Amino acid sequence: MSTRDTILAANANGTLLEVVVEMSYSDSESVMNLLSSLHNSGEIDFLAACDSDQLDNISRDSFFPLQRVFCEIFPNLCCSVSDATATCDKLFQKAGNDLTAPLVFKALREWMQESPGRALQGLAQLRLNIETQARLVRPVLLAGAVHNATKFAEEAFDLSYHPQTFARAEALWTLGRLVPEDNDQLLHRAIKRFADAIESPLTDSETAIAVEAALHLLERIGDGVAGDVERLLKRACQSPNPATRHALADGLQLHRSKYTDAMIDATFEALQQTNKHDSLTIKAIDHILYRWNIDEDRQRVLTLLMNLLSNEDDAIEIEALRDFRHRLGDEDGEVLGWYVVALLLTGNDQLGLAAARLLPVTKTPDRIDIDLTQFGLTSPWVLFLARKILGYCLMNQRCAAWLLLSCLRAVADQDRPAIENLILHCFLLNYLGAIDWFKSAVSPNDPAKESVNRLSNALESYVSELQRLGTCPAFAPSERERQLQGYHQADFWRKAQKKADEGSILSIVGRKATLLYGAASIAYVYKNEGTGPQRLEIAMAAHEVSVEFPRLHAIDPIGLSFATSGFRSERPPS
Amino acid sequence: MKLVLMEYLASLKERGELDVIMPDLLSELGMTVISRPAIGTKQYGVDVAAVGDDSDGVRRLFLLSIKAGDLKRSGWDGREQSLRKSLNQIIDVYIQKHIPKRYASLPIRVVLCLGGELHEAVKDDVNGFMDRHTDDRVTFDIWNGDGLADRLLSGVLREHALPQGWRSDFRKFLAMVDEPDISFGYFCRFAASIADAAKPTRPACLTAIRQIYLGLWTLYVWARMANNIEAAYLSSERAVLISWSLIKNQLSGKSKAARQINRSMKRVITLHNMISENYLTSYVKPRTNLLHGLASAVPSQSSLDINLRLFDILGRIGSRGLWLLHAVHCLDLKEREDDAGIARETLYKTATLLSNTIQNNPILCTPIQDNQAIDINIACLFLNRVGYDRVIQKWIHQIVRATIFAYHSNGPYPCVFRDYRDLIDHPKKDAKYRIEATAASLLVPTLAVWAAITDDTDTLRLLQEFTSNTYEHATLQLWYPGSNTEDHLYCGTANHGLTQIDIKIERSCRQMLATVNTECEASGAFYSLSPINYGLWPIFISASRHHRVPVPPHLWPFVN
Repeated sequence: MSTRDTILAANANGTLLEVVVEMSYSDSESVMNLLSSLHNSGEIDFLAACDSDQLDNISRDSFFPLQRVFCEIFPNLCCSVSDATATCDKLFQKAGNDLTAPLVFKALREWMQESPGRALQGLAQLRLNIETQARLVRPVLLAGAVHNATKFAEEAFDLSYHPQTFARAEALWTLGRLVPEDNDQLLHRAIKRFADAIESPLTDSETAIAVEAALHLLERIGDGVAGDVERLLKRACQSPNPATRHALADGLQLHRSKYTDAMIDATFEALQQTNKHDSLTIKAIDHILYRWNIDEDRQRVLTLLMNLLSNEDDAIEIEALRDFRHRLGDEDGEVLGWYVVALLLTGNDQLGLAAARLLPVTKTPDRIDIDLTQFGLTSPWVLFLARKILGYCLMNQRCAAWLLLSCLRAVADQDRPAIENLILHCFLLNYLGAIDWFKSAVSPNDPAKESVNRLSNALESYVSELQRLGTCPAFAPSERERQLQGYHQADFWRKAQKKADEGSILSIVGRKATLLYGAASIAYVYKNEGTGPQRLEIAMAAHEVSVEFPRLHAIDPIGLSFATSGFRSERPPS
Repeated sequence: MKLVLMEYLASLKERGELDVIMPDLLSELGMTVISRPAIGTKQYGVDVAAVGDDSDGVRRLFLLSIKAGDLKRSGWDGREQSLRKSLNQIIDVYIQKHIPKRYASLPIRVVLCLGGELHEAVKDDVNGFMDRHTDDRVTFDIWNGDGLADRLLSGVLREHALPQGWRSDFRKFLAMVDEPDISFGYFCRFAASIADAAKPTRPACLTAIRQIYLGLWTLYVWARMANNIEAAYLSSERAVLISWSLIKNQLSGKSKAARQINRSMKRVITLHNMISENYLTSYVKPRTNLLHGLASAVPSQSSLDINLRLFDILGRIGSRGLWLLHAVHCLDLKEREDDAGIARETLYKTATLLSNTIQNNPILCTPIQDNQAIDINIACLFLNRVGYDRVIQKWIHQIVRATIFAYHSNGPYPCVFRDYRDLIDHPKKDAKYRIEATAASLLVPTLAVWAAITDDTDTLRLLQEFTSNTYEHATLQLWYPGSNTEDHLYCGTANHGLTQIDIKIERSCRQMLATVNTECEASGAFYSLSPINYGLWPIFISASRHHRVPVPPHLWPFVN
């Protein structure tokens, strides 16, 4: 049976939507063309099928392929405005809270753009019952503006004052997109309307919508409205609510190229107030920072970070800025080092913790030592920084070593013994092998060279006798204790592995298969329709991560904890 | 079994080891020992002299000249301490002038007593010497390791004098010296079964204590060879306590049997102190001057293991110090100034050792178990007696600060749990657990008392604030011996004594001490305990350490 016959048979059987879903997976373009032509020739009524019980019977998994097909072919279908809007509404309802739900109205807008009459009929239908038809505001106005921008801009102005909240918001939003750029009077009125909405919004989201609309206007028109939009944006930034912050973040993310410095400053300042509950805004900020020049614009980014991460009650976690951390990891190590040092120097506990989490655990950059002279630190500040590094970053041996080396280079001679003592007792005694790294990291003319030599000698005298004496078998725990300790360790690592498995990307995208034997797996997979299964052999690879715990964690845990907590709580030098 | 004993005998040193067990061996063979090894007195080649029936049934005077290990040419002749020289002295001097009159008529058998074997290289020389000096009155014999082992098996370790299964335990505690807790377990079973089987008569008790002593010696030698005397240390402490429990009612009077029991008990104590000193000298002392020296020597990556071991070592040093203190006191009483001087020097060295141990191993400021108060108390008692109050003051202050910090930061704070399984999971995060883990405390009042003794009002104030706020739920307590303590203290068989609860931490040192003093006066059972009556109070310290019984406040320096 040909595809055409199959569709016709399905239409006759009342299973058209099911068949469309099945066909949507293969050669969708020809199917879509066929569906359009069959509908337009009257052989099938695709819209009627979408408006029937068939749609109710479609499962949620099958709905979205159907939605995709609908959005593709709908602009080409011939139908009445009322059928079009009714069907779109039905599909919108069926999509529920899914973010793709409004796509049908985008298709409706495209359908209406096909002829000026459709938009006008749509407007009439909207005007008839604005309470129930408010969702038509956007497609109708945008489609109409393609044919008569001035008229539909006026409609938008009018609707933007309508008491129906959603319709008003939609109209306000469309204003930024449809006001003709060559009509100064309308442009002026649009700016004024946005200013009114920002100044005295009737709902929480109105300012956000006005900002979004104004920024779109800026994107479309550019310099002509730049001054006005800058003024609007600065006003919106003064006391932004969460929705406005989100709009500001999205705006900066989408229209960055059109922003003036004043707009950037105002936006960054407004975003500083974002708290951990504004998850969408945080995501947007993360994307902004990912694309920002975090090297050249350090101070601005740092100020934002400091405010975000130390917000009194609702500070965001640095982990929420995943893309930013990723970006920082890709930057030169010096940039990462700068941010870490700058955060540590604040003396704020939350920022200190965030600084430590910025440091990569497994993939350490080649160098994250930085020239501390750019911070203009006096010796007490260098010592303060060294203690903060030890307080927050001790677990990250390699990164802490780099940062401490920076301190050794920057400290004044009279305070060198103090910092050497600190590094010896709080760092090198924890990681006995780290001294070799220090020795290899300093060049012959390095200002830290002498210090490293002294540290090496001091450590040598500490270690040599301990190593000569070794451990004492008589001090060993009993056999039972060793066994219990073994079980305890095994439990710990089992839990850690489970947690790692759960957090792994593989657990989301793939199916887990457990191999009891062997070092490679064999599976037969179907790649192409009509061909037999293909043999796929996948060799196993080991993945391991090792972490060295500070030595004092075992031989003086409370002492270590006491010292690090003292370092963390230390206030900056006056 | 015989091979085990031969190995043991061959490993004994001459002085203080092989010559110490010989009198017991002869006594158990039915002989009367008339002269024992002594330091400082001239013995003219005779290490031990005894009278008894020989294997041919003839009553003889046995003169033993003892040499450790194998007899080689160097040991036979040419050196100051060679056996030939000793034998010459016996023949030339001892037999001529020093045999007591009542034994003068007895035939004499001079015994070349060797821990090991007679080497082929000197066999002819020795035989030649013996042939030349043999006459109607004086004959010679060689007791080598093989012969001594036979004598041990037919004497001290004769089957009918020992409980069933002893050989199995004996072999097991020797075989397992590398796993000290297992070896110690078998030794405990060995010693306890001997003690249980002994009838409450002086001869039976004497034999039992000698058997325990010999078992301990053998274990010590074996452990020493394995370079791990942990099992021997624990066993020696247990041997002291079991032996004391066995003979504490047999000590009164001046009979020969009472004297022999006394002597045997002293020997067990001496052996314990010897092992203890060896433990400190070999394992602890080389590491105490190094920062983290002891902590780094524990073969474990777990802070719990390190913590438990270091507090254990702390208690051992303190206990050794208190035994030394007791020895100095006894030697002073006997006006043996030279010996007292040597012992006093060791005493102060041990005090320095303890002080350095604390200073260089900061984990000793962070007890994880409440009952580590026992080790802290023992250490403080010792340090206080030798005038190291400043060390105590600083240390107690650090412990208090660390304990409060650990509690507030949910670090490994001191908890009431004793089982390793519980300790390994300590601390947990929930608040209910924390209340459970600190439901009671001996440690806090102990720290408070030591702060008061050292006049440290700052520390006392810290404790007072801590216990009246976040630690309010804990039952602060001190333990006092009761009328049932004597029955259970040495064998750790049951709970005993009385606990004073709801101890209030006072801000004033005087008031803090007064609280304890009042109860010490009211609680008199301590003064009727047998070690206190016999002036052997360190036995109580050993019992406290070994069975984890609190050290009674009566031993604190301020108690009247």
